[in-house]
Order: sequence, then structure tokens, then C-alpha cells
Amino acid sequence: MTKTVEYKPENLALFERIRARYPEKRSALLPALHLLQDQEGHISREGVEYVAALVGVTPAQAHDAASFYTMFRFTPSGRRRIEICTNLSCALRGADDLYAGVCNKLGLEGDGISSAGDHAVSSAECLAACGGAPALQVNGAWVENVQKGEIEDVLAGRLSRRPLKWPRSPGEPILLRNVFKKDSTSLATYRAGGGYARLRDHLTTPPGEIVEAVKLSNLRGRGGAGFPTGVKWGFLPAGDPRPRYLCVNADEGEPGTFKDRLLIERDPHQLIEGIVASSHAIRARACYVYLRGEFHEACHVLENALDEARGANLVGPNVLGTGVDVEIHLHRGAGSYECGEETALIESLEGKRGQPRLKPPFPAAKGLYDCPTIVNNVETICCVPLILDRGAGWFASYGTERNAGPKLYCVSGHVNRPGVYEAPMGSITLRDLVFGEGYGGGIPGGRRLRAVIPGGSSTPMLTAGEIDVAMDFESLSRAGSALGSAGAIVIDDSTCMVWVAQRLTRFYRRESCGKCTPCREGTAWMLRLLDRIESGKGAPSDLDTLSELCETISGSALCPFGDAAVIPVASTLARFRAEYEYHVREKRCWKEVANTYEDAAGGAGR
Amino acid sequence: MKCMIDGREIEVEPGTSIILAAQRLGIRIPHFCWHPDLSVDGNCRMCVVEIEGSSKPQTACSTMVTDGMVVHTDSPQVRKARRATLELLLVNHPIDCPVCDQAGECYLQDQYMEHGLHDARISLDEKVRKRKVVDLGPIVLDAERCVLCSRCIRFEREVTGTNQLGFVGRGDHTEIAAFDNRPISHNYAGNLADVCPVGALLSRDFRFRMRVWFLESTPSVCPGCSTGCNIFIDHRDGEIHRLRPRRNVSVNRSWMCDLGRALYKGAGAPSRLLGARLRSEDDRGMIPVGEALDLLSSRLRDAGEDVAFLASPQATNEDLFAFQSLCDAVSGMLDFRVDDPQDRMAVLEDGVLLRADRNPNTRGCLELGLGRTGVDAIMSACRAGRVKALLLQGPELLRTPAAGIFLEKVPFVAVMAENDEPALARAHLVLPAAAWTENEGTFVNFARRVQRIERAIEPPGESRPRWRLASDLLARLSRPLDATTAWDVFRLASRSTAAFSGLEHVSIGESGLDLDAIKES
Ligand SMILES: Cc1cc2nc3c(=O)[nH]c(=O)nc-3n(C[C@H](O)[C@H](O)[C@H](O)COP(=O)(O)O)c2cc1C
Ligand code: SF4
Ligand code: SF4
Repeated sequence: MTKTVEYKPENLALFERIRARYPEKRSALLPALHLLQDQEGHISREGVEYVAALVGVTPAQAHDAASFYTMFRFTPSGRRRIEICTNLSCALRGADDLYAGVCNKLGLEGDGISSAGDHAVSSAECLAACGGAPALQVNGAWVENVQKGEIEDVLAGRLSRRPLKWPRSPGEPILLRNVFKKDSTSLATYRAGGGYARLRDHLTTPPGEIVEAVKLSNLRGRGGAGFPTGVKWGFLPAGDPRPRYLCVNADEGEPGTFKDRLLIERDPHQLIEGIVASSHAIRARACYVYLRGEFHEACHVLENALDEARGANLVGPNVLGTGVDVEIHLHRGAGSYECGEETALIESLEGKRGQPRLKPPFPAAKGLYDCPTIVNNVETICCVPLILDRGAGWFASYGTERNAGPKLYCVSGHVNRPGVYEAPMGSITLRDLVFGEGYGGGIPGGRRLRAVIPGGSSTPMLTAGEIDVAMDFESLSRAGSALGSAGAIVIDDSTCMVWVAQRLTRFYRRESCGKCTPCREGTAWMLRLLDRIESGKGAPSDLDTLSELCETISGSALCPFGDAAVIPVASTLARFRAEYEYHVREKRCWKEVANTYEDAAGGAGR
Repeated sequence: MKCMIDGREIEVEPGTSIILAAQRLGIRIPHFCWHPDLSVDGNCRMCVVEIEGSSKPQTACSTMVTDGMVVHTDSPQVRKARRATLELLLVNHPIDCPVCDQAGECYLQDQYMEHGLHDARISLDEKVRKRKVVDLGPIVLDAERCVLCSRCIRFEREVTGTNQLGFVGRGDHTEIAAFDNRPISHNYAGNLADVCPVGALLSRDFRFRMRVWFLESTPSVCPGCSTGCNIFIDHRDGEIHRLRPRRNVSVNRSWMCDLGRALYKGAGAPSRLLGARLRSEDDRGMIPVGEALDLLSSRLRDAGEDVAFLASPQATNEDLFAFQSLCDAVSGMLDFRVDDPQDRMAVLEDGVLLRADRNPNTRGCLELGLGRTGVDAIMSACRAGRVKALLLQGPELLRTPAAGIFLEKVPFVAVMAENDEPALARAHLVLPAAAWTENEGTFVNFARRVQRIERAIEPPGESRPRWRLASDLLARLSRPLDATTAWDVFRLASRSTAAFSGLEHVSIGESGLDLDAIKES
């Protein structure tokens, strides 16, 4: 007889509360699965059926959605789950050795469960811990900057939580003004810094005026595309009777990016105030914060802050007696980069696989539950109270023309001081970020700079000679790249660029949602070719096939993921083609014979 | 809104996609995921076209026509993009056409032949392995052949609402699956095999029966219920191999139910009646149909006005009209409402297509005015011994439990039937009728749509269409019907029946006519 699966009474009660957050119960699918997995350790077939019935879908629908997300386990797992980031930023700082070391100690060949059954190891994609690389999570808790000698401590449970130490920025902190304070997450601290002081005024300002102010401020979205926020808000259809929704994009999954995590983990009230003001501005009564599933800590912090804010009537019905109702709900993802794309995020929030919708219609016209919806990044929303408190003019003049406001820059990889730094938008160059004293502080170990990915893995690389470019939307796009999510990844001259392309393509191949043909099949094919080339088994025609695939995928995919997925290959092929040719010609990676590519190429006598 | 597609101009309403506009011009843009009766998903990226003024090719399924748009569906740029996408679709496909039952109606095979993509750049051992030959009841699934177009999933979501199929996993490891391999349990499984553009979902019934290119298709209408789904009868050498839906947006869109789909089996069943049968004192004997008609006509003549006729809602309008003419020739009693099918005629049973009235032509009986005497009145007359001869156009009455009691005192009962069944033993004379696949004529569906059926194969043995049996009897009664084909009968009917007035079988066309709409225009 199979064991029947059901929630324990306290979890059933919790489920009922979660379920009430959504107008459609299917939206409770992901939270319901998380809850069951936390209770049972994994989700069995009976578990899928149980949850399906609770949220009113068929088992096939529940499984269709659940199996999309990497965090759900359908077979029993180890008691202690160790997830090691092996994406580029961590790999540049020794993650592969760390991963191999952990597997070795547990007698594993790769991802799996130790024979004693107490440990489960998996190689994860970017966890937004690039500043604390190499990083891992033990049962969801951060353990960052892990040294090889600490593996024993992790396995023995002596080292089970150690978040990174965030470095301070040289200039005046605006967005980060609270994060280094003691008790920075508490309402009292936020209030002491002037937070919420003018919220009542903002909520009694007509929404149209706030939208106007945001337009005037020149705030551009911080999620990657840089779309003017006020203009986006203005797309909401006027006089439409449907409810409106605000979705805050806290899915931060772009390799090299870990700024939103800092904002949430260290200053949740700034985000909450931004949400309340923005919801009022767009006349949304409900906001969903879509937090990436791996953000256990951020989720916990934000939940507590929300409780405090609700208690102080800063969130909920009739905020501060202004008649404005704003409810804020947290919604956890479950392991999928694509869910950061706004329409995939909406699908995921509706309890489906995180696959994008065709646009148009855009979310502003038809989004969550087919209602007008605004999706904004965490940092974007955090800028809104600044605009309202200090004035749109102040914001617009802070930074450079067309690139207004304070900006968070992430830097990781081969730098002395990886971290998130704040500066007025465009006021620093990429060189400053990498080499500046108060910023990245240069390349460690006397190495030379080879390349920088300026704005997250989806932005084209720049070579050492191209880094005298201001860190803003216009300047970077003129330089042939993009600001993206402002996640700079620094690569020194000990690094094989084919390997870089391979590592990032592995990410896109794993994260492709699989909906459209070019991206689904093309990323997998590209990775096969890169595996072949990097291991010295490539043929000259493989390089042509790679170029063709780049062209096919970026020209025809359904969503921008496809364009992004070819960038590591396309931009390394454009700038480091000789290195690919070396692999094919010499049938090996140059790292087998030299410390730098220049040495290898010279040494090969060609 | 006017646009130009491949040098030809077309005017369309706003909101028309390029793929639809092209289709109206008879230009077929290759695609996998788009289906005219399902939502647009845009996942296969095959239907790209070149739009002047736009740098990248665009998908024709999701791009709406704008005024003055100039589209090229077969330019070198388009062919290149299409070929590239196709090659990607083949990356993980087993290319096992020689053993695949979809061969001949596979979008992938068609395209890959057209683009000559034989030099696969991916070797077989590099392909992602998935599950093959999974038994899902009426459907056999082969996940390796699936191109992940989601048509089957959208069909179950948007048409049946059953949601038994879904994807599992993501990226290039995504696989189509039924939860726990549970069999497809709804009445529309056959459509899953139809919507699947490749050989990933195949009908168990049709699997390995016949290569499709040997089949001939005849347009017809399903006789399974009063909805009247439009279909094709696929046959070869006088044998029917399958029925499949024929698209009609006003009736069944692209679908039909599995009950209907199975109906071809009756026409070829061993129980078919090949000749007439007369029940005598001690044995049941086969007699030539001519002799049977002689006997029946003399019985009808002798009975004077003490005869009764029960028409069948399974019959075509032509059958019904001829039957009615026969009844009128001898001034008999007439009705058709055994079990009152007209009360269920419009009742949709499952929210999709199937109606509670399992007759294709109850509405036709009403239009022709066959509900005349009342079935109860006829039955009382039978019980009172006032009926000397009773002619049944179908076995409906004989199947009712009370038939024996009612018919006790009727000295001569004749029935027209296609298949033998125990109930026929209650009749004295059985006449062999052609099945619907062997007949031509018209049905009127529940919504007053008159639709045509065509003859796919010849009637076996001595069986013949019911209208022919009736007209043979009329000839023997010296009241010949002025008709040599079913269409002649329809012409006669249209003269005396208001609903059909002015109609001809040609004007009905292959997709039928709405009688209400005709009246208005
Ligand atoms: C593949 C993909 C992943 C994305 N991931 C994120 C993300 O993690 N966080 C985010 O804010 N935006 C992400 N975006 C951008 C969103 O689609 C959207 O543009 C953004 O959330 C809008 O907010 P903004 O205008 O405030 O920048 C992603 C886009 C794509 C195509
Ligand atoms: S490009 Fe296609 S497969 Fe890739 S993430 Fe977007 S929709 Fe999914
Ligand atoms: S089984 Fe067929 S219809 Fe379903 S997704 Fe695959 S190819 Fe499409």
C-alpha cells in the first residue's frame, strides 16, 4: 500500500492562508509544493496528486509545472543538501575545485546523494552570491567565500551559515544608506533614517502626479532593459475596470548580479515603502514580490519586515488612514532563471511552468490574471521613494543626462574586492569598477585583465582595451555592449575564453525554458560543440556551425533569452576567435601548456 | 486592411494574422504549432516570413496584418531561416519515417524532404533519449518523435478541458507525458493523433493498418449524433479504414468524437445483411430482394388504409421523403418519434460536440413533417389489431422493450436494416439497407444546418439505399417516384418542403447551409 500524503494540520492551515493571497487558487501551486517538500523531503507522485487537488488542477498540470523547476525533488534526497554554485563568477574563484572536493569527500562522481544518505550534492547555477564566491548553500543557508580547507567543516555541520561581508562604497550612499547600520532590517532603523516619514503625503498625492514625477525623474528600469519606468506606468489602460497588479521582480538570476539580494536582505523597508508608493501610483491594490526560490534568507527578512510594516499600518488596508489599500504578498520561485522574464514570471505566478508569453499584448495591457500589470525590478522600485522624497529634479540631475539616479554596480570574478558598489549612474567607468581603490581594487595575484562582461552574462564582453567606458546605458551600448543588470564579471589572463563561453552556455542550456525550437535545441547544440572544442576534439567546421547557430537563435527565438544565450559565444568568437582556432588546431586547451594564451600562441610557433 | 503577400493583394479584417491571410490566398506557410482552432503559441518558430521594412523574419502566426504590409513567404532569407529551424527540430528527432505510422501526413517529413536535410550534423548517439511506445489507451505515445509544439496540450486545455497530457522537465529534456502514464480517458482521443503534426501521438486503432497514401477520401457527415460533425471517410478497395474530422468552423471546427470515429466499423461488420429475409412458420429464409418487395407491396395494397409507417431519424432526407411518399400513396399512418429523439436533439452531452440524440437527422424528420400520427396512436392501433401491415424504416421500435406487446396483433411487420441483430426477429420481413457510407443525400443537424453525405463505397450484396427501397415499392404500387438518384429525390423534396425550397445539392456545398440564414437572406 502506498502511503497517503497530506499536510500536517499546521501546514494545512498555513496552506489555507497562502491560498487566500491569490484570486485564483492555481497560483498557490508553487508555494503548496514548497510546503509539501519542506514537510516530506521530496514530492512523491501521491504528493503531486494531493497538491493538484488542493489547487484545482489535474495531476498532469501540476506535474507539468512542478517538473519545470529545479528546486523540486521528486525522489528522496539527503538530509543535508549542499548546492554549490559553479557558474562563471564562482568558477573563476575556485568553485570547480570546491565542488570536486565536496564530491570527493563524499565519494560521489558528481551530483548525487552520498552512500550514507545524509548528504545531497548538486552543482547550482548562479545563486546571486558572486561577491562571496565561491559560494554554496547548505539547506538554503548561505555559506560564502568557502576555502578548500573548510569542506570538512561544512560536511560536519560546523560551518552551516556564513554570508559574505558586503564591502562599502567610496561615495555617499543613497540606496545603500541603511545597509551597514546595526539592525538595518528593522522598522526602527529605517524610520530613524527618515524612512516612511513622507509616505502619508505621497499616498494623498493623486496617482497621476506621481506617475508624472517618475517620468520627469528619468528613472530607467534596473532589471536589464533600461526601459523608462514612468513611460511604462503610463501604458496602463485608463478607465479600465479590471484590477491592476504590481509585480516586483526579485528573481535576480543573471550571472554576475547580486544587488537586489543586498537591497532585500539588508534594507527590506526601503523596498516596502517603494512598493506602497508605486502601487498607489499605478492604482494597484495587490503587489506580488516574486523572489527567486534560492533566496531563503531574503524571504525570511522580507516576511518579518512585512509583519512589522503591517503592524504599523504601513501595508494593508487603509494605509496610514489615507484610504489607500496595498497588500503585499511574497511569492517564491523554485529554480528557474527564465522566470525573471516578465511574462514568464507572470505565468509562474499563475502556477504554471515559467515560460514566456507572446508579446504583444504587453503586461500593462494583459498581464497577471489577464489584468493590467506592471513588472519592475527591486532596485527600480527602491528608487521611487527617493524620487518622491527628494524630488524628481534631484533624481534627474543625480548621475548623467538620460542616465539618472543612484545605481548599484556588481563586480565579481578576478578582482580583489568583489561586491556591490553604489555610485551616481554613469559617474564611474568600467575601469573604475574593476581597478578603482574603493571598488574592485584590481586583479589579484599580479595577473593581467583579459576581458570584462560589464552587465551580467547576457551582455557582450569587452576586452582590456575597451574598459574606459562610463557605466551607463548609452555609453555601454555605444561600446557594443550593454549595462544590463550591471553585473560586471572580471576575467584575468589565466582564463581560457572558450571555457568561459562553455561555462556560460551551459547555464543558458540548463535554463532555456524549452518553449521555442531555436533556443531549446540551439543552446544544447552549442554546448555540445563547445564541449568538443574545449576538450580538443573540435573540427574547424564546428566554428562555422557555432556562428550559424548564433545567427539562427538570436534571429528567431520567442523571447529575449534567445538573444542573450548566444552572447557568450558570439562575443568570444568575435573577440577571441584565435583562441578557438588554437583549440581546434592544437587539439587541446592552451592551459595545458602555458599560463596565458599569449604564451601558448607564441610557444606554438605560429 | 490591405496587404500584399507574395505579390498578391488581399483585404482582411483588422486582427488577422499573416498565416491566415496567406491561407486565404491558398498560400500555405509551413508550421508545426499553429492550428486554426487552437490558441496561438508561437513556439515552433517555423512560420517565419519576411516583412518589408523589418530586419528580422517574423512569425506569421503571431504577427497581425497591418495596412500596406508587404510580405514574402518564400524569399531566400525566409528559406534560410526555415531550414535552420527545421534542422534544429531534427536535432533530437529519431528520423524513423520508414517505421512511423505518421509517414505521409507528417509535417516534419514533408519539410525535411523539401529542404533536403539528409546530411544530419548531429549523430544518433548524441540525441536525447526519451520514452518510446508508451501505451495511453486509445493513443500510443512516442516522446522521441515529439517536436514539443504543445498542440495536444492546448487541445486538452481549450477543447476538452481534460488536461491529461503535459510536459515534463524543461529545455531540451522536455518530454510530453500523461501523468503516471494513465490512459487518455475522454471521448476525443482520436483528435490528439490528428493534431499531433508528427508521429508522437498515434491512434491505436489505425496504427499499422495502412500507409495513408493508399487511401481515398470521401467527404461526409458523421451519423453518430445530431451535431453532424463533418468528416472524411478514408477507404480503399471498398473497405473503410478510418473516419477523420473535416474542418467546419460552423459545426465541429477540426474535431470529432471517438464514438463517431468508431462508426465505420458497422459498415464492414460480419453482421451486415446482404439480402432480404422472410420469416415463415418454421424457418427463416433468404429471398431475393425483388421478391421481398413484391410481397411487401401486395401486403401494403391489401391492407388498404390499415397500414402504418415509422420513419427513422438515422435516414437521410431523401430516404425520408421517399418513405413519406410511399406512406402517402397508401394513405397510411406515419411518425418517427420512437423514444422521442426530438426532445434530446439539442442537448449537448459533454460540453464539446456529442449530443444526447444519437441520430443524425431528427431535425430532418421534423422539417419534412414526419411527426404526424403520433407513435402512441400508432401503437394503440397496433394493439387494437387495426394495423394490418407495419413498415419500419429502421429497427428503433423493435429494440424497445415493449415492442413484443405492441406488435402481437400486427400480422405483417417489415423492417429496413443494415445489420442483423436479435431484435429483427420480431419482424416478418427484413429488407437489407445500404449503410450511410454507401449512400448519398442530406442530413439536417440540430441547428438546422443541412449537410451532404457522399457515397464512399458500394453497398454490399443486395442491400440498397432506403430511398431506393421505397421508390422500388412505389413503382410496384404504380405510383413511381420521378427520381433515379438521391439528388433527384432531394429536388422533389425541395418542391414540397418549405425548409428546402429553392435548394439543390450543389448549392449545399461541402460545408452545408444554415436553413435559418437562408430564410433571412
Ligand atoms: C531571460 C530574462 C531574465 C530576466 N531576469 C530578470 C531578473 O532576474 N530581474 C529583473 O528585474 N528583470 C529580469 N529580466 C527583465 C524583465 O523581463 C523585465 O524587463 C524587468 O523586470 C522590468 O523591470 P524594470 O523595468 O524595472 O527593469 C529578465 C529578462 C529576461 C529576458
Ligand atoms: S528563447 Fe524560447 S526556449 Fe529560450 S527561454 Fe525564450 S521562449 Fe524559452
Ligand atoms: S505529442 Fe505531438 S501534438 Fe503533442 S507536443 Fe508533441 S508533437 Fe506536439
